[in-house]
Amino acid sequence: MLIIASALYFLFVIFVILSSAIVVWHLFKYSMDKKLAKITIVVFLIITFILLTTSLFIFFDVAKSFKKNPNQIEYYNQDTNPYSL
Amino acid sequence: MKQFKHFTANSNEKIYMIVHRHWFNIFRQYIPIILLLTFTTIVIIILLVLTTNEESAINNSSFNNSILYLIGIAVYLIAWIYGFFIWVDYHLDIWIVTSSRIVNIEQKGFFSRTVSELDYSHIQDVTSDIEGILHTALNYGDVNIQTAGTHGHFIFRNIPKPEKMKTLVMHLHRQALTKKTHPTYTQKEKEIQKND
Repeated sequence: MLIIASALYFLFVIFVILSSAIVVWHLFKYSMDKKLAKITIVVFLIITFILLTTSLFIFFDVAKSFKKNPNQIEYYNQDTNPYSL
Repeated sequence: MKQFKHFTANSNEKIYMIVHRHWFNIFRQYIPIILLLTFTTIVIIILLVLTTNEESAINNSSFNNSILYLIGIAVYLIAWIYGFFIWVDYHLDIWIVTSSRIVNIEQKGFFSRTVSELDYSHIQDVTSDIEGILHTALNYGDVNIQTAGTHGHFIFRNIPKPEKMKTLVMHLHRQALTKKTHPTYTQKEKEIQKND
């Protein structure tokens, strides 16, 4: 379960990095207003970086707690949850 | 001399206008993204409220919340990149009106780009078209340039102040015709410019 989730997340990160690289390269190459393009690229990269690192921290947090107790997801099922009221 | 990819102005060429699509056209493309982000935020807030009640607090609500945050942030990230794609597409779609030609640089996705040029002497007629309540209120629409022979149409889509653009193109077209039929006029014009 964790391996599949990690692989999916890894693919997602690759997708984000690749699409960001394509869009930045395109804007820088074809824009006629280089100053505006540079400002936009910096803002875009900063916000993408913040979102990506936040998602990375959350993913590690989820993976860590899942590793500690792999049966957590099953607790959704009230029948198998030993703490269910 | 103004120069960038796909366009280099000649030394005696004057750039009159660089036009992008109207801002409302790009705003319309952002509406689904804004709705998606609002929906995601509302769903996350509702689920967080539901999972922080007594029963689920005994269970592993922090684990569930982390998964919710992860899904939420993935949606935000995809929406952010897609929003930026839209802006880049808007920013790279331009029409340049110069003293000797009209250049249309159209971005179609990321790996397709059309660049076309039109000489004023090929123009037959120019029509501006504003249709609908929003177009009228915000004063934006199309300018359709009919050209001679095999050149076909040349369309400025969803540009602001189409009437003004039409007037400018017609004025430059008349100027080009005058220069073509009276070549000496150009020479005289140059002499006047030199004297000035």
